[in-house]
Amino acid sequence: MEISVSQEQGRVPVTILGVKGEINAETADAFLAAVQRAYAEGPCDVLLDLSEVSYISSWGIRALSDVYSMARDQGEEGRPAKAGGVSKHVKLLCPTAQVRKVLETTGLDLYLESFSDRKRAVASF
Amino acid sequence: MLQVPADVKQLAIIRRFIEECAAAMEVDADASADMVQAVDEAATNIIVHSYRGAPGTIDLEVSREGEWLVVLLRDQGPRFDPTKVSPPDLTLPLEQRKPGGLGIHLMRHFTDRMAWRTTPDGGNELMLAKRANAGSGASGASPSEQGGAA
Repeated sequence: MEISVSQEQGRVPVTILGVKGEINAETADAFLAAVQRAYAEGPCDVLLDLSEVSYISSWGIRALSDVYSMARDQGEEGRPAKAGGVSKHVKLLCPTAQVRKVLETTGLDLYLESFSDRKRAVASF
Repeated sequence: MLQVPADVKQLAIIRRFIEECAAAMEVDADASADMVQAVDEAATNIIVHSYRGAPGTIDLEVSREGEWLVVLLRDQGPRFDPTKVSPPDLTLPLEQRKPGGLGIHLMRHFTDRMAWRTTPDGGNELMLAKRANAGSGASGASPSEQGGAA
């Protein structure tokens, strides 16, 4: 699995993590570590580009759930983090059909919004 | 039949094996993809939770029994019946959900039958079955738990 990091400016700066490969039992920890590094410099809005994720297992779903929690714990400056609901600070870009299927089966699609267009995704933050 | 070391690096090989067997057995693409997911989850559980890093192997047998695609996974880890694991409560908010159980949930969701037994040598045998074609109805006998190797 490879992860690239870039920044784009919408209404707010957005950190884009491009994930290539599989998110499974072998790679989930490395994936989480990469996300943690993005948050290490402070609260940020994160777009996970999953267009090149060839496969995700339940371990990947668990990792995405952890990312949701990380984003929730970041909260918004000056305001307490809101529990539950769709994340405003981490979103998904172009999940493949297999990834979408697993997101829907596990209910994680209700918490992490997916976009098929990068510009719209960045603008949504 | 395929025998692989119980190692997460073997998961892609396992998935490819299932895909190839399913294609050779003229299984629908959707059914094949679902079975691949289920088998991957089962194999992951064996590797991570059963062997827990200890050396071991996973044996896989794939067969077509009438309308059914049947996969048997055998391991020599501690006795564990995944069919007895309660499904996770996905109606709970994400932060209230207990960890674990998602792999077995996906196994159940992506297959039509799941059964477990111990093997004569004290190992585990998990049977996963999926209707091979979209046109397959609910009628027709369930696959035997013994299975027939292919």
